[in-house]
Amino acid sequence: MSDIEKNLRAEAKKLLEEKKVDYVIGYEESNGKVSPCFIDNAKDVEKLVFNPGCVHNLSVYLLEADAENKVGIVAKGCDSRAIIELIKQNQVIRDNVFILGISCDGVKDLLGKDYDKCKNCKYPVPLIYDVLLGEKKEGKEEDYSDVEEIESMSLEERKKFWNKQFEKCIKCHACRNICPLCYCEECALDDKNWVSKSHKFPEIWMSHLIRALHTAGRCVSCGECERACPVNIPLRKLYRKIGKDVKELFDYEAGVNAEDVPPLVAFDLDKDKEKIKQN
Amino acid sequence: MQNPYLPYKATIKSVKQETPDVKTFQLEPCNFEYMPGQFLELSILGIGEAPISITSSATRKILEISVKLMGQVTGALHELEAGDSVWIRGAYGNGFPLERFEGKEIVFVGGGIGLAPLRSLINYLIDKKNFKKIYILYGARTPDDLVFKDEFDVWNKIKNVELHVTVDKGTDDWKGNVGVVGALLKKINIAPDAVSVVCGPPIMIHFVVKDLKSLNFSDDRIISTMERMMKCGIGKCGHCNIGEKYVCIDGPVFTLGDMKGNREFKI
Amino acid sequence: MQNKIIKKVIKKDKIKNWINELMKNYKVIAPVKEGDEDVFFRIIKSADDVCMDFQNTVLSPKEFFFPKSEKIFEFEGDEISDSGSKIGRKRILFGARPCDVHGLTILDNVYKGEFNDPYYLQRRENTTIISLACSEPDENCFCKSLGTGPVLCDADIIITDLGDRYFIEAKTDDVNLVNFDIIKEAAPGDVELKDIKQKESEDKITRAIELNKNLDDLHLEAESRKCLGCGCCTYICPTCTCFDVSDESMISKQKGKRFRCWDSCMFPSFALLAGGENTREEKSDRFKQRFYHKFKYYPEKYGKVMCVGCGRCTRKCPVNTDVVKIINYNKLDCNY
Repeated sequence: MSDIEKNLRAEAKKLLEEKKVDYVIGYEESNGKVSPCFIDNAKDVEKLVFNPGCVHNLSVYLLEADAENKVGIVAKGCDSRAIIELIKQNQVIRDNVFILGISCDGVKDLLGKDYDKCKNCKYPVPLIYDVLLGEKKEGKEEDYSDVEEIESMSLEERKKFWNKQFEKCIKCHACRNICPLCYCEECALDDKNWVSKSHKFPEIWMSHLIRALHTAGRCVSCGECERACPVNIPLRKLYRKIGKDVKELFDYEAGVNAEDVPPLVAFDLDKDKEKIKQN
Repeated sequence: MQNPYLPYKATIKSVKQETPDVKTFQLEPCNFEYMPGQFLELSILGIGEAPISITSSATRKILEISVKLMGQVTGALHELEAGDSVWIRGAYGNGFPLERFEGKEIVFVGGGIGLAPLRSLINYLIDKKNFKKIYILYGARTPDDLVFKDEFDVWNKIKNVELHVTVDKGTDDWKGNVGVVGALLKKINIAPDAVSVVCGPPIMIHFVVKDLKSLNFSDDRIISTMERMMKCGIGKCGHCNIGEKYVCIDGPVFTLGDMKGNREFKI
Repeated sequence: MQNKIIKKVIKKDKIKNWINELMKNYKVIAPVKEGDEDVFFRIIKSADDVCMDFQNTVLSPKEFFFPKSEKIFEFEGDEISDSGSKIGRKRILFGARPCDVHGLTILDNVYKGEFNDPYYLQRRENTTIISLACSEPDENCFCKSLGTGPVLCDADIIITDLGDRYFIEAKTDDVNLVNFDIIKEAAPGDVELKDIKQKESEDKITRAIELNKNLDDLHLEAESRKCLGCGCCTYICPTCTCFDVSDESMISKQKGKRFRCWDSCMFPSFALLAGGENTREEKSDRFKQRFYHKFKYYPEKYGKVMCVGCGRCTRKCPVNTDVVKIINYNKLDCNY
C-alpha cells in the first residue's frame, strides 16, 4: 500500500469518526477496476484506494449532496479546479466540503496508457485542499498543441473533422452528466425547443456547441467528458479550444484562483469590446 | 406491412368547455372501433402525440374525448375549434372487463377528469341495460371543476342509476356535498358482490382503495385505469412499463389484484 | 425443407474478393476501423475498408435495424406523407459478432407481436447476416452463460478464423452467397480445426452471469449511488429497444416531421407525465428499472434474459458499473 493510500484512509477515518463529514467520496477497487465510492462509516475506510486507475473527477458528486451535508472528497490537481469553480459558481459551499487533496503522478487507462490530460499536466497538486497527501511538485508548461493542430486546419477540413466525430454521437449525454460544471437543473439539451432529440445534422452539432459555449469559462479541462464518451469523440479538444480562447481574451483560467471573477460575470461590453474585435 | 405508427385524420365536430381547463371534443373519424376503457393516441402535427382516454360509448356511434390542459399536446388541442382536424390512431389498450359487470351492482368512484374514462363505461352499461344497479360517486376540487354536469340530470333520471356528487371546497351557491369522494361510499348500500371502478388522481385512488377495502371489496373487485408516460401505445417504446406490465397493452385497466405484487405499483 | 449446413473454407487473402462479390448484389454493412482502435459498422463503399481484426465493434449493429433516429412521416399543412418505411436494396450484415446476432433475436420479440413494427421488421427481413466468430473474446465477455457463445449464434452464415483461412458454415438457403470459385469445400481437417478453435475461444470466456439469483433492491440502490444517469449503457446495448417519438417542425408548425429516436430508461424524462408527476423520480428507481427489465420482466414474458453478454455496458460505463457483479451479487457477500 502506498503512503498516500495509508494516509488517505487514516484521514478519512478521522473525519468520519469525529463526525466532521457525513460521508467521504473516494475510490474503491473491484474486479481490477477503480470506481467512485461513498464511505459512510469509519469502519469501511479500508475500501479506499488511490492508484493510477483513479481517473474519475469525483466533484460531480458534490452536486448531489444536500445543502446540509458535510462531505469529504478525494481530489487530484485537475479535480480540485472543478471544486474551485463550483464554489465560485455558488454550487458548493466551501465549508461543507473537506478536500483530501492528492499530489498526483498522473492516471492511466485500463491498458496502462497515460491519459492525454496527464501528459502535460499543469497542476498536479490540488489548488485547494484541507489536507494534502503526497509531496508538492511542479507542473508542466501549458501545451495547446492539440488545439493548435485543429486551429491550423482550414474551415472545410475542420468541418469535415468534427462532422466525422459528431456522426458517431449517440446522445447518451455521458459527457454532460459526468461534467461537474454542467450543473444546470434544467438543461437546454433536454428542451426540444432548443435541440430536438434527433441524431441528425444539425442537432448533434447544436448539442455539442451549446455545451461548449455554456461551459466556456467554467470548463477546467479535466477531460472526463472525453473519457466518458462511449464512441470516443475527442471532446476535450473542443472544450480546450474554448478554454484557450477564454484565456487569450480574458486572461482567465477556470478553477485556478478562487478570487478571479468568471469572465461571463465580469464581462463589460463597453470595456471589452475592443479586445473582442482584435481577436 | 401495415404501419401502426401512422395516424389518420379526424375532424373536430364540436368543442364543449366542461371546466376552466377541461374541454370535451367530439371527433369524426372514418370507422374507428373502440370499447370502454380504451384510449387513442392523439396527434397535433408539429407538437406531438399523447394518449387520451375515450370518454364516449361506442353504443352511441360517436367518439368523444375529454381533455384536461396538461402539457404541450393538450395545450395545442385546447386551441382548436370545431372544423379543425387532429390525427388519431387506436383504439388501444385492454378496456374494461365487460363480463365482470353483467347483472352486477357497480360502484363508480371518479375524481376530477378521472370521470372521463368511467363515463365511457357508464353509458355503455346504461345502453346495454345488463346491470343491476349503478352508483356514480363523483368528486372534484370545486363546483367549477365538475365535468359532464349536463349529464348529471340524465343519469339521475335513469332507473337503477344513482349519482352522488361532492366537492373538496364549496362555493356560496353550492348546496351539495362537501368532502372527499370516498365519504360518499357511506351514503349507499352496496351489495356484497358489487364491483368498483375507480379513476382519479393518485392520492384519491390511494384513499378510495382504503375505503373500499374496509367495505370488504376483494382485490379483484377493485378496478382502475392507470396513467403512465406513453409514446407508441402498442407495447414497443418501453415508456409505460410498470413492473412486468405494459400499461398500453396489458392495461390501462387493471384490478387491484393484477397490480399487487408489482414492484413498481404504489397506491 | 430442412436447412442443411454447407461447410466451406476461404483463404484469408480472398476475403476481400468475396466481399466484392457480395457488394455486386447487396448493400454490405461491415466493420470499419476509425481512428486508432475503434471499429464501427458502416455501409461500406469498398471491401478494402473492412476490418476483420477487432474484439468487438464500439456499437452493436442494432442501429442498422433500429436507427438512432428515423422518420415516421412528414407533414405539410394538414396532410401527412408516409416516408418512413421503404424497403431498400437487399443488405448483408457482414462480421457481426455472435453476441450481437443474438441481440437481434431479442429485439425481434419486442418488435413483433400483436403489433408489428414495420421499420425494424422490414430491415430485418431484408438483411442476411454473416457472423464472424470470436477468437479473442475479452475479460468482460460473458456470452457463454446466456445461451450463445463466441461462435454459436442464429446467423445465416458463420465464419470462423482458422489461422490462414476462414471456415464458413452456411444454410442452404444462402448457398448463392458462398458459391464462388474462391470458396472451397471444407476438408475433414478443417471441420476438426474449427471445433478446436471454437473450444479454445469458448475456454477464454471466464466470466459468467448467474441467472438463478433474485435482484436485491438494497444492493441496487447502493450501486446506483455512483451512477451518473447517462444513457451510455442503454444506448450501446444490443438489446435495449426503448424509443421516444417526437415532432420537429418549422416555427409556424406548418411543415415538419415526426421521428422516433433512441430513448433511455436512465433519463429522468423517461417516466415523466405531462402533468409533472414522475413515476421514477429517483435515480435509484431508474437504475433498478434497467436491471429488472433485462433480468426479470423480459424473461417472464419471453423466456430468456434481455442480455447477450457482450460486455459493452461494463466496458464503457464511465463509473465502472459491472452488470455481472450486480446480477451475481449474493446477499452473504455484502455488508450493507
